Amino acid sequence: MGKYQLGEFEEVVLLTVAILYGEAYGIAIIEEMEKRLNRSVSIGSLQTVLRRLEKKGFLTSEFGEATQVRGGKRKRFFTVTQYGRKTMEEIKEQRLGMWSAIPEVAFK
Amino acid sequence: MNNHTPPSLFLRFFRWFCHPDYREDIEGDLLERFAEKVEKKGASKAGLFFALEVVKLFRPSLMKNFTGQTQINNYGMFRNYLKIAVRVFRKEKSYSLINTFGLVLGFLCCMMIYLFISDELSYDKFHADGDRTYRVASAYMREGRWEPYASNSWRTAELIETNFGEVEELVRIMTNRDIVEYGDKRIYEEAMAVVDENFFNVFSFPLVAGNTASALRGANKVVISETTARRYFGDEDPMGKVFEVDDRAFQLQVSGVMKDMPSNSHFHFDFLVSSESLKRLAPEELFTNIGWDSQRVYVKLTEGVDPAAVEERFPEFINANLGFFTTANFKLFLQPLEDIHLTSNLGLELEDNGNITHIYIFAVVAAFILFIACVNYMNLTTARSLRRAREVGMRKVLGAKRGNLITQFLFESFTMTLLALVLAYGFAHLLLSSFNEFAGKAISRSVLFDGTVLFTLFVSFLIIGVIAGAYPSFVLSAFRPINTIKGGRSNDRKSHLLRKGLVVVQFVISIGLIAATAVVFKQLKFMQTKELGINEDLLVAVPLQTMDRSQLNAYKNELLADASISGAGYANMRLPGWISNSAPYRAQNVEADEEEGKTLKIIRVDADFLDLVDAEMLEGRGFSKDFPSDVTASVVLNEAAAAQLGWDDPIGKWIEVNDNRYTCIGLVKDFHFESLHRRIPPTIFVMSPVYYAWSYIKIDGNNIPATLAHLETTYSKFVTNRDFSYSFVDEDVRRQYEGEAKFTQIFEMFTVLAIVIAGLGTFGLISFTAERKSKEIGIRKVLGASIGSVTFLLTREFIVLLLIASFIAWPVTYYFISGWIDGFVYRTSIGAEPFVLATALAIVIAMLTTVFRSMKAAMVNPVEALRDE
Repeated sequence: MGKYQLGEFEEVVLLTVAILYGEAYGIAIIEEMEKRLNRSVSIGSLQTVLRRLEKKGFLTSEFGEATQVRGGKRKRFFTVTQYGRKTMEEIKEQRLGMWSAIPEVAFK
Repeated sequence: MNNHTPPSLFLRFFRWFCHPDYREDIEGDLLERFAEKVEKKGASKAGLFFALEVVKLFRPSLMKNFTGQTQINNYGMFRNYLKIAVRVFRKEKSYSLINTFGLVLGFLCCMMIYLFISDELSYDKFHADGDRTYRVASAYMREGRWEPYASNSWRTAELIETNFGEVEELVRIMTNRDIVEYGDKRIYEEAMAVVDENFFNVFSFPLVAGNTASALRGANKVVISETTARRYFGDEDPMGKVFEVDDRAFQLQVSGVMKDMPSNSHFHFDFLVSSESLKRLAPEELFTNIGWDSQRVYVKLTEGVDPAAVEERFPEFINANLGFFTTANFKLFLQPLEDIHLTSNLGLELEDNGNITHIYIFAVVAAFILFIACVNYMNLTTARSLRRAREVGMRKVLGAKRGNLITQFLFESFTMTLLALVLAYGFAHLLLSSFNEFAGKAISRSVLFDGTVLFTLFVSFLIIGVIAGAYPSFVLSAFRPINTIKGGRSNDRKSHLLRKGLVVVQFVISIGLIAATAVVFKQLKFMQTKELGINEDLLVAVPLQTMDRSQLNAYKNELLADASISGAGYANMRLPGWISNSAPYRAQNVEADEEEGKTLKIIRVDADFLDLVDAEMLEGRGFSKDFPSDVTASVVLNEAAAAQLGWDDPIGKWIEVNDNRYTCIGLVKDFHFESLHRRIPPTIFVMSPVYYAWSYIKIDGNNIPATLAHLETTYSKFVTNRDFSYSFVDEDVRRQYEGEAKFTQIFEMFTVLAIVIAGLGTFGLISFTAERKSKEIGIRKVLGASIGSVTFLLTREFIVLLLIASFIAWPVTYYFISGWIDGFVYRTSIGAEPFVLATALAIVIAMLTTVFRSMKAAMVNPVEALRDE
């Protein structure tokens, strides 16, 4: 508990990568995030976080096939590792635990 | 898809900075995003967006490693060079210390000379319109020569102002000395000047209090310097305070306080008195008399006016306006304000000026010293090269290219130079105040932090580093590995010759400097000790000041009553001094047109003066009390005057000066009344008691303090409102050459330093030679050579080089020094002894540095030298 210091943006990126399973490369992630969260994301900030998460072991990545679009550059696809999945679940449980601990009167 | 391309500048930038591992996919993302934006928002917006994305990608986590592999080798190599340099320095301490010390001395000398020169050059550069401000100087025709003066008359200045429209501002400065009183303070002030009210329009001296436009307006106003204000008023506000001046003859009210005039101004005053005050005090006729030669006149010309055009109109102006003065006997010319300090040496200068020749001489000396220091470095480093031959060979075997080795040795020389420069810079800070004292300067420490100084240091660091390091690095890097590693001697005959050549050049400079110093010193001694034609020993000069002139006889009699005083006399001026009093004349047997425009100098003396100073009478007699008519109607000429008049037999002839007719009663041998910088002028002596201003008293040397005390008591009986002051004439005579004395001193110091540096170099070289020849010495000793013969073997080479250097140095030095000495009116002969002395001294120095080391080499047990092979 408490070992996994994930920032809000890092958490959102992890979730998005998981949602896009198999199709999670730079632009796709950005578009998904922009669609779901209604916020604009720059390549620079996303890539920084992706590399950081990969270095921490939450993500792995591999190159896809080269295509005609994108000037012939290959895409790098990210997937969530087992370790990443476990971390995400732990975070989720922590949050749910906290939600359920809120007394009902609090929101009245 | 379409053919729009993203901005290539940003794409290239991205490719340059991005980490290679991330480059491909992020670039792909960028391009995809760009294409999408083109479709949605159009090409130009997409381009902008692309640029923004690239900029946002520029963050450390995505960048490549800029200290990457490609550079790592060079850094490592330089670190290695530095390490080796330090090790070499430690291993060969004496060489390295000599080397560094020589460079430090050289740099230090140059820094000091640089500061000295830049200070001299900075004179009067701070005036806002200094580039169009000029001093109007004058010249009088005397003995067929123009005699220039820094001064002009009040009236002349006035006429210039009205006749020349180009003159925007004209300001007069008249020096003054007076007693100033405030409260209980009563001080004889010598740095006073009477100036026109527009003084501050021409000269930029900032005021601390008061207004530059109005401070000097009206009578009885004075602007004082900050120091003076503190001297009189302490912390009180000086504005509006009133001084009593000249025993309450008039008052001066402080109307402004200025910052002290900076040291690099060619005049310094503590009191600036408004000229309106002078008009109230001085007799009216002075202001219309064009002969009242008392004002320094400065003009500021309108912007864009050519000073030459103004000067061209002076002759016409003189003939039209100045009465007695015509272009035949009078001249006006302009001196640029900024050049006055270094190039002007006229009569009646406000202060002693600098000398541009000295600047050139010092610059050359600085260059010489730096050259000697560099040569030392080159010599010692190449000489030492054999010891490092193995290192060079090894480096080459391991793959170093020649370029690498050149870099290495240049790097070493740069390290050395930097070290020396930093040390010298530190010493410069420490020694600046003593240098200031020595050179009579007030260079502030902040000058050392000045941008140009630091820049010059940096540039000289680069230049010296290259000069000192280039030759050794090329020689060393050329060694062939096979020779050096096998232990064979690399053939350095050529570099050996070059080293000898450099040593000769060092000796030439040293000998030349010694000889030049000797001549400079000889000339100074000559001027200080030359027979003036009079006997000035034990002669005391006392200014009469406010003494009642009718009491002169009583004063003299009272003085003579004391046994220690053997004579007393009066004159109108100070001896030695400047004879400023001159007049046109008419004389018997002289054609009117020959007299035209000529003048004679006039000195007024009493009956005893000429006897008192032991002036030699060639014909006739001197003044005498036995001839009462002498007082009004007799004249004594000096030889130069007789020559100007063309009189072979002057006695009994008449001459008219200032509407008085005098009969010549005697001819006196020429003697020096003025300094030896000036030719003895044609002079007449007349008696006019009202003009006497100085008394001269001959004392015996038995008890000088008691005699002086007696003088003072006697004096204070006759003068109550002034302090007694005196000086010895022989000291005053010597004091006239203080400029020369200072120059000689500075020159001597730098010469000594140059010799020390050259001596260090010689010592380094002899050490090297001794080491290289250690085997030869060993064998010679085994075969029976004595210590003396071995010492001679080592020293011989240097003596030969020294003699060669002497033969080069003598004629070169003679040529330059005779040019210098020709600038003096009265000069010593150069003679042979400075040159012989220089060579002898150089030999002594060379012996001192070499013999000791040679003996040490010669006394080594031969086994030591021969064992290791």
